[in-house]
Amino acid sequence: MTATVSDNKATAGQATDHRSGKYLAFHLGNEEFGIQVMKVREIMGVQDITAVPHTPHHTKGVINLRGKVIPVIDLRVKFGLEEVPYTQRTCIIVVQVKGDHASTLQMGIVVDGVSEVLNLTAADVEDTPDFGTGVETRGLLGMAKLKGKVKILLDIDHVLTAHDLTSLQEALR
Amino acid sequence: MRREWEARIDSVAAQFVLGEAATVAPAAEALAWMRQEAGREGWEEIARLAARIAERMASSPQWHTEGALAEGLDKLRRAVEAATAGDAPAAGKPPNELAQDPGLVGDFILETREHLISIENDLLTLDREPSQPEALHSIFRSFHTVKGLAGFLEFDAVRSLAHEVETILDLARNQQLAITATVIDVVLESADYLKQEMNRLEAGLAGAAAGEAAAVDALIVRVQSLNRTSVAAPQPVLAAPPEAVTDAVTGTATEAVTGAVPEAAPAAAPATPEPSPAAPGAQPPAAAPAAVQASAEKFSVRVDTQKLDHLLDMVGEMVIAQSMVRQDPELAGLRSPRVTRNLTQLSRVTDEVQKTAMAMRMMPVGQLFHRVARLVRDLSRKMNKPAGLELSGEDTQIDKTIVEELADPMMHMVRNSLDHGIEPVAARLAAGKSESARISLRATHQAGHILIEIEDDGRGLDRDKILAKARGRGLVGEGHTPSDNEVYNLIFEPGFSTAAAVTDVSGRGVGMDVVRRQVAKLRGRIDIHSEPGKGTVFQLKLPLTLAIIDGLVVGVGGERYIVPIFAVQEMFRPTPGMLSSVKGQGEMAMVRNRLLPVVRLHNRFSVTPRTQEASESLFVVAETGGRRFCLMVDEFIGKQEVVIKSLGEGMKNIPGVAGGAILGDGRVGLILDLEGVYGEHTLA
Amino acid sequence: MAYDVLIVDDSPAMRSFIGRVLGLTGMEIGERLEAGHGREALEILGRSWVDVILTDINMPVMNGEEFLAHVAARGDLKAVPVVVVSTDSTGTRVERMMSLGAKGYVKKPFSPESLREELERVLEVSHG
Repeated sequence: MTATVSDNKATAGQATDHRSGKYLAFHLGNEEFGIQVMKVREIMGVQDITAVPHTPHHTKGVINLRGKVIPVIDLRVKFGLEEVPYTQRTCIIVVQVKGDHASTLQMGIVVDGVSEVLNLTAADVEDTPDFGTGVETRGLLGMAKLKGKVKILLDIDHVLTAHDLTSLQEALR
Repeated sequence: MRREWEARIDSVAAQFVLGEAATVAPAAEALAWMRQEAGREGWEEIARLAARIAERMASSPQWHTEGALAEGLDKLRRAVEAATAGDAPAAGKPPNELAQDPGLVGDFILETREHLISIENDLLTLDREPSQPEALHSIFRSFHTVKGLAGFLEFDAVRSLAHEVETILDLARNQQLAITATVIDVVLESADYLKQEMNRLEAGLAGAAAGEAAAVDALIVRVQSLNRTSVAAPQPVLAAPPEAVTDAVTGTATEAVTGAVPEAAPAAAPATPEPSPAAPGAQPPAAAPAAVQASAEKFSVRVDTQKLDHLLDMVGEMVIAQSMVRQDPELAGLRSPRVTRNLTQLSRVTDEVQKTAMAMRMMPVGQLFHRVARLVRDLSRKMNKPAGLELSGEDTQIDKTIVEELADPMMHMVRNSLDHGIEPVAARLAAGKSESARISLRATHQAGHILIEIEDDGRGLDRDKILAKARGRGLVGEGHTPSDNEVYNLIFEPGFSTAAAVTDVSGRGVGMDVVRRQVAKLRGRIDIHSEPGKGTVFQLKLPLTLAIIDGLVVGVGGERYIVPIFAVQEMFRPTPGMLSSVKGQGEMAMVRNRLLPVVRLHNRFSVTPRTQEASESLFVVAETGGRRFCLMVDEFIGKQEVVIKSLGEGMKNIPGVAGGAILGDGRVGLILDLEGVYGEHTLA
Repeated sequence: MAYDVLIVDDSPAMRSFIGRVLGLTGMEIGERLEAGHGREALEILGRSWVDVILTDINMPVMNGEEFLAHVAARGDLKAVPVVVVSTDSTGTRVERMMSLGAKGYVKKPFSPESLREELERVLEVSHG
């Protein structure tokens, strides 16, 4: 279908600009991240998390989301960053990601705090810089430069379901 | 164009994320744009969806917390993607597009499987009573429906086979063909083929490489050849009294006829009805109730099991919320008779809702029994041991999951009975028994449980032989004389009863230990009663539902765990004198003159306990898989009925954890899988 | 105008297949009502507006023939055309159903085009 009505300035780039749109910005330490708003179900304060034995360290446990039990991942640990005690600003972002066999599943991710909703156009998003050979950048959608600050756009489906994020961790260092 | 849409959808989505700070105006504006634009494009569905979302948003003050709205928005996004991606709307596409639609193919598989169950069931009825018009008619109708559906989806192998079988059955309906055992065999085989095809198609839906349909031509030829026989020997055989013939023919003849089927059965099997392996005395399941059931089903609704589980979850939460309200001290402080009365009414209604919701997960155990009936028919022929099956309590309702998970153990036990329990014909006659053996399946409700019994009138368990074997394996000490019950239970020990070996009916021989483990997984137990020369009874005691569990809530450090009550023997605070450390076996406790291993839960689960001192802790004596042990926890908190919840994908097979439950204060507690907890101990 | 259709078939999967093919005809379909057999269909006809009926023959409780007879006997349903949808399209069968009052006949499986053709014929829709 051709764009008959659109007079939007960015129409020309539509084939490649699937990365534009709204992002929820949050931070871990000094690093700013963004995830697509469509993946976000809700944001809640940190509540009692029930620890589950024999799970990876980044799995903090499970919480009760209105009667449903969902796992909670600490994104700091997942990214190999230093763990810090939770504060008033720490929160859990509930996201809906793709699971096995085309199912979707909800998970909570613990972040230091959420800041704002960004509206990114194709012009704002850049490809991930080459971190050097051998470093894969799956898990990253790209980078956004806004007001002189760089925000890392995450492919949250991949971040949460991949077993090995070593290369991403390297990239973040 | 598409970008424009995405931007608008995103801006609505963004409002959901902002939570309390969200404002309805920009979202409403964006939705109004979408509605108008969709109208101009002629995307009526999208326009309507946008309108419905806007309407719902406007009418709910808490709209930004509503998952349904977010889902609606997702749907809208997908619809827009579909509308902007393809070139034209769906009109005019060729019909074989139906076969590409996983939803329709899924419907087809589901429905065909339902028909297959009733086909098999009705065939077994016909096997006993060849002149049962209702059963015959019902089988005909099932194949007819399957044929029609397969036609739409262009599943040609299925369609052709169903068509041929339908033709044969139509002849039988019109009394131009006798329902012989050969006919039943071939139709059963056709049903088996359809079953395989459904599995293949289902695998295809799940994304597996499904491959081509299995070869069907040879089977079709055999179905057609049934027809030719009937033309060659058009005798009014339906009128022949089946009893007379059955009595006259021995099992050996049955075997010979069955064996001849693949090549030239039609020629070898003229118009005489084959003997039925089912004993003449066997009680046929009445056809009338089946018909009533069939028509009753027409008024039922199909519900996605996920939706049902969600409903059950929510009902569980409602029950908990209700009890929180009732126990609220502030409300109690009001001392208002009216509030009390209304709260009582609320809890009555909630109870009723919970019961109804639970009942929706239940299904009659009969379906399971009918699978066993098929097995008995096949095996009794193969082993040359005529046997009749008696069913009772088929309408007993039981949790759907239990029915599914129970199929394998039941099949195994029945096979075991036929293999080892039932004597060969000569031995039966010599023992003064009837030639045809009797196997009974019974289901009854019993005080919050369901009891399933499998009984045979065979030779019974051989106490001496089992004991000798057990002594040989060192399972029973030389000096010890176990009770009958203890001896019989030995057949459930791993590796004890693999003699059942391999049959092509239920696959590789699994031991009876697998049966016990499976039953334990369903939170049930199994007992054996046996009398030499008279027969054996297996008794399965199972919970009515798997959705709710009666548990003891215990605490370790800051965590709380739920121990399933059915496995708990007792609880006590140990005294220092009870404890000992046995070299190579770790900590042990002497409980009622038995030395039991001690499992410290905090060690298993790596949590920091309130106390390391056993004498300040609590011991829960639990039994799992026939082994008893002491579970050490900090404290006992209370007894509670909880709704079992999955911890979600990726957390399914955690050793020692059976699931999660939401406790009275809204926190999640883990439900222990004692077998897993103990299993880890033995590894440690 | 959107046509309200009643699909009568004992197979739920078949009802959804037919519904899907209806959607592919490009005709404007309003309400899509479903019944598992003739009796249920008569109940629906008593309380809902229906423009056209698609019915199977072989059904439990009340089959297609009985259903047709009932519809024909009811004066208020005279204006509602019935199209028989069946795998059986032998001449005698078609004749019998037509004599009972069926206005159209489609053999299963059918294409959206053939369904549309038959529906337009019985609904007397002119092309254009």
